[in-house]
Amino acid sequence: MDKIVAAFPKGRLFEQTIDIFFNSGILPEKIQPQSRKLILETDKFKFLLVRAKDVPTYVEYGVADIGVAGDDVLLESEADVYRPIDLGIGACNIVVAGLPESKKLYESNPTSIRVSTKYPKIAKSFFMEKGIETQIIELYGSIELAPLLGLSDFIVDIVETGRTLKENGLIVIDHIRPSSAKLIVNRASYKTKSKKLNSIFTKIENFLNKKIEVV
Amino acid sequence: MNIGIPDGVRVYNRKETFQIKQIEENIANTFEKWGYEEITLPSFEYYDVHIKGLGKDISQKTFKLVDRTSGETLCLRADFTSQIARYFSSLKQKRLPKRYYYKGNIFRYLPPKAGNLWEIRQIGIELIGSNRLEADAEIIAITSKALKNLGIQNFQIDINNTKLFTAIKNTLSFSEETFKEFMEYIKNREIFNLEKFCQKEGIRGALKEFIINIPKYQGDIDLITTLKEKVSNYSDIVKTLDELIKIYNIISIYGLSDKVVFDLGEPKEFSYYTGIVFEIFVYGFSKPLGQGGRYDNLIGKYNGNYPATGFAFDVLNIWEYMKKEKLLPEKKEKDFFIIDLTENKKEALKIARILREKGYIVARDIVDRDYKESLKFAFEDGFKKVIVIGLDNDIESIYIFTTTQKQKIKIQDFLNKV
Repeated sequence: MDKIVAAFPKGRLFEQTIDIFFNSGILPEKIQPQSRKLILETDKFKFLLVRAKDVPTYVEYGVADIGVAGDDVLLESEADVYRPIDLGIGACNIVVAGLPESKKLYESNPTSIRVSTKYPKIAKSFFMEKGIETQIIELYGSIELAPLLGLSDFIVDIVETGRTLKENGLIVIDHIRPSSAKLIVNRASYKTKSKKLNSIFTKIENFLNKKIEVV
Repeated sequence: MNIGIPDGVRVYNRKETFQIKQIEENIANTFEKWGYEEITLPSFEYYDVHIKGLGKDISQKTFKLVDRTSGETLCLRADFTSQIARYFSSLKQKRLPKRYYYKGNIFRYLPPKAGNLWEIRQIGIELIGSNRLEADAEIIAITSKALKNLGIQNFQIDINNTKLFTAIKNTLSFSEETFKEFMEYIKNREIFNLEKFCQKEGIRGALKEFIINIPKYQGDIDLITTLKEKVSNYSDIVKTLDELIKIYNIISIYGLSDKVVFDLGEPKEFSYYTGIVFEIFVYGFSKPLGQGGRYDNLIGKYNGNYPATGFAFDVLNIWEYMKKEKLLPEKKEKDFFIIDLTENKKEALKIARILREKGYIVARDIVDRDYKESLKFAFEDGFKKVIVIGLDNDIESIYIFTTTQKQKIKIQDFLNKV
């Protein structure tokens, strides 16, 4: 039979996901990412190591049956995929941040603001619902620089510990939503490979429930 | 000079056009055999008339234009079923049941990702005037027959009853707001959120067990009978499962029970569906080949109260799948290509006329070049045989070439024999 193809984000989230798959009894042994190999195979799985932002794309187009993606990535990609399980890893908050003195401006009913972000869609829809005209400046990294250099008063970004913000003298001004990694599934795979996938879901759910009980 | 093409549309070359046409003709043949009649619908209509039965998700995606004389907003066809509902409701004499089929393009703005076309092709059927499950089963049977006639065997029919969701809503007296939230989780199959939702709404016991597992309830008839036991205290929900069992029994008579997969977590995209809905998938292909379902209230949004059910194939998805599986003919075969090397070309015209009268597809070479070049062109262009006139001095004979053979024959003998 065909292998289940899984698109997992490179880096720490990959190892955490593999841990869950191993501890749920889905994988007989942990697999280690090798230096530059982008495809790792076991007898039942083919793992694709891709950029976090690209995971929904692989799954939506069906080149991968399942994947792991955070809410931040899912909201931004607007991918049409199923998301049955909250894996509880990669937890962070999507927030509005800025210099401490910008807090007043934020709370003063501004009619128009400038926001730098890696997440233009999330930022746009958050401020649009509040009726605030927003100019989005899309950046690909080092977002924290924007308020320091006066590119924009605010940034929308994900925050895990808040250390990067703090080290750059920024504070959280508003919370947009929490985010954590979800197991996502291609629509057609969900239907045509339901037996295999359902058994994977159940194993992960059982493991995660047990973990909650222990805690 | 700009010679670009907008997003969302594409060209189909000769080979592709031929393949798509063959698929449509093949499917249309099946529809005809079941007594469905083809109708042609306009490419645009009044916007507010067209979207009466469509949910916001579709009506927001329509291509709008303005009628210059009246200032009315028009939109390109976004959905055939709505058009047929409008047309049928306008008829003075309605003889029932009515069976229609249609083919053509629909237009919807979709997120600009590669592969998303704004102009897609559909061919589909509508059966108006019966609220019986036999009607739903007929649609499913025709769909399967059409796929088998195309040479597609390993498809599965995912069936659900959308009444299930309204039954849950009524059983638990959800407000519209709560129901909307619930359906959002169902649509994305967010099991973890359904769990939180049950906690928040205080849903416990068998009903909680049922609700949080809806995304996972996929399987055969045994699944449905087992579930019926589990929710036996909730008669509204049991009723919807009973309908699934009944339709399964009818589908079994058609010999299609092995194709059926129940999928209780499928809410379907359109807001006009009111009962049995289904979608066709094939193993190893990421897009559905078609979808359909019952829409008992749609015609009522126009005029009159008529139950109906229908189905549409996504022609381009079928085409892509068949291409991938090599189920398609490479190109159109043509019968004869005539190369006349004589001065007056009289023989060529005569032979071509007689062959066409006999029903053959015949084309003549009209480019000056060495006849060997012409031969090469003809075979590459899909002709099965090439007739060469005047290759030697024998004016009563011609040469017939195939890709492997060359044969000399008297013209009269050839025309008598062919």
